[in-house]
Amino acid sequence: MRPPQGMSEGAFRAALGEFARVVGEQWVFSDEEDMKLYGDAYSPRYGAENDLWASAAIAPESAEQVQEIMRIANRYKVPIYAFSTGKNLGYGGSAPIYSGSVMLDLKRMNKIIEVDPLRHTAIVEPGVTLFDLYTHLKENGYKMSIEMMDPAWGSVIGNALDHGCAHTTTYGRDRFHDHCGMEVVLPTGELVRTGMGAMPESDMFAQFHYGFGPFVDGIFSQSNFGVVTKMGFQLRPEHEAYRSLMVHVPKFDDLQKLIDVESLVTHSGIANGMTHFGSPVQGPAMGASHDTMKAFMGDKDLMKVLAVDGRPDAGKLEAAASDRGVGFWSADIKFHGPEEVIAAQAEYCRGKFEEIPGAWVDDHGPVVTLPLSADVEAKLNTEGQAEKVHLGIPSLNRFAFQAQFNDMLSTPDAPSAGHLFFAPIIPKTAAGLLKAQDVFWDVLKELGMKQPPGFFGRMPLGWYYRSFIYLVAFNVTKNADVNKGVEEGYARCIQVAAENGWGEYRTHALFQDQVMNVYNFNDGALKKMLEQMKDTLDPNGILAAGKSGIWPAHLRGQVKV
Amino acid sequence: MTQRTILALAASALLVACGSSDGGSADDEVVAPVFDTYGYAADPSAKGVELGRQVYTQWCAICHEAGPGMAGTEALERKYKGELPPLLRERDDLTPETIESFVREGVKSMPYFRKTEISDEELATLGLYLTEARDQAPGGRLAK
Repeated sequence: MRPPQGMSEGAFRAALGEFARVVGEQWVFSDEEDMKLYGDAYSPRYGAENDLWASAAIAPESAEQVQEIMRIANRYKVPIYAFSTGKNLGYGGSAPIYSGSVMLDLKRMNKIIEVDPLRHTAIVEPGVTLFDLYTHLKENGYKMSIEMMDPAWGSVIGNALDHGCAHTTTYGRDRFHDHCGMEVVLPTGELVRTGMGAMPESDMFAQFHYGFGPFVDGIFSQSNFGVVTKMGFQLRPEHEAYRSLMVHVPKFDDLQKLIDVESLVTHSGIANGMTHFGSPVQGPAMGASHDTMKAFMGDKDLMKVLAVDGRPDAGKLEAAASDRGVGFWSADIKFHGPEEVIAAQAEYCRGKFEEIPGAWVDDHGPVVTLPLSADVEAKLNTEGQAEKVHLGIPSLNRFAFQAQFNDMLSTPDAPSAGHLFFAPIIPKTAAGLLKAQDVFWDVLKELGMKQPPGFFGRMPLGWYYRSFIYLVAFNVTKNADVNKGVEEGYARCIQVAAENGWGEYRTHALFQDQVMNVYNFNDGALKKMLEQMKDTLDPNGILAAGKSGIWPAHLRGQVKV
Repeated sequence: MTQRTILALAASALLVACGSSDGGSADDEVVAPVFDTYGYAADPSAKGVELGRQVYTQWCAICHEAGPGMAGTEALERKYKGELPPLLRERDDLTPETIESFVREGVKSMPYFRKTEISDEELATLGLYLTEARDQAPGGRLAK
């Protein structure tokens, strides 16, 4: 047993005894072996003294138990860190920010409270995963689509709270935006419902977001000010069909034109799926199969053009693209809706993209109609077909892609053990993207991190359809020296990004302070306000110390993560 | 089923009935799968194996089954290059101890699983299921 920092073993044992009285002894864990399961499975500090560690874990099964746990934690001044399913891999998993915290493991709170097929809503608890919700809808014959993330083994609530995204429709991919209504246990143990849920007789918890007064749900995102125990989500009637267009443009200088048209058709809602920008001549799109990756790496003539120090020669790449019948840049534009409606939407978009000189537009895979036949479903996630995630079907296909990438980077003296994601928001412009590619190439080179050919084909993600997220994956290994470089590299990326006005929208457990500190307009006024809120809502500073860089008063400036 | 699951499903039936009476929402409250493995952990009976199959379906199959986009299956293809089957359920060399080690310690991109996800009892039945082929083979402990 290892008590929280500054707490005696006797007091800690007494607190654990009280927690056990609430949840049952079998749901309080404090053995060393059990505590290893509450760290970060992809930790770059694997095995090191300064790795983030938990002192114990408690697994309640109801909001009432969470309330009681909070009251006990206040009495004993026990630091608590809550998580839903802990699948935030690449961002710290379930690890606490403040080492020694007692984990509030919400996995057992796995009820699907309500599904409303007429108003197209659901209310769930934090332990419910995307797989669980999808299976429930299918088994009960509900004709509704859910916005899907990949990997889908994570919590519906946890993903939304961390500002996570789905891959499906434009209007639903922002998962926090798509929620409606919350039930929250405050750090004091008080139970609050927001929106219409604040009216005892209302059955509109998941129907109308705002209720009355200031909209406070946002302060519970990224999880510092309360433990969300229920959350409503707005679902959609099952899409009748799905199709996709692949747009190619031939020239390096065509990128802004491509983005202009994509913004026109997406921001107006005519294209309503997730766009994937690509650069086929510089590398396969994310989600490509191992065979496709091998074929790309085996194209020796192309490798000669790409394997250079810095951005490859645009003229040579334009010629290579022309020879191979692919675009310099591409955009995979997607549509969800009735077959004849999305046919018209696609034709409008095709015409708009074809106005770019030299552009051509192909149908990307067949039109898929829902519900899926077994034959069609079996082909999903294969080359030239839709990915399950685009249709709202849970899978771990993207996880498979990342795992494959990690294996490729594995070496005998530094075997891969996972990854960290650095995820800054950058401008949705060609100039912004090209600058980000150049800046991060320079940073990674300066750090001695050799990048494979195709670096400049690494395109931003459009989860948030009006923004680009420029995802940099750092390979975590079992080699401490390599991992030290990864941490330094990540920290350097935060700094350089901030110098360019780019900031992360979520970050890894180890870098919460550093990221919050770059959001420092007017001498850090935002952080100061958040600290005032912390002191009011959590007077004993027991919950989620350090999450989002917000520390309770007694630890402020005292902890180096 | 556990008592909690039964209660939740009973509540669900009531709520659905209430919800449909006014033609409005079909409220329901169900819990995600929980397996009643108590007492079957060390029992290589058909019941223990069946519970292990359910645990496998809930937790392992999403990554280790056949078909495209299966991270675990693809990783084992890359690792063994045909020397061993990439599908866990076709392996005859696994032991309950090996399975426990991978589940509780993780390997490469596969994270470990906590006891609130796969309990020790569930893990033991998973061990029964994934070693069934070996145990049913001639000379195995379940051989007929």
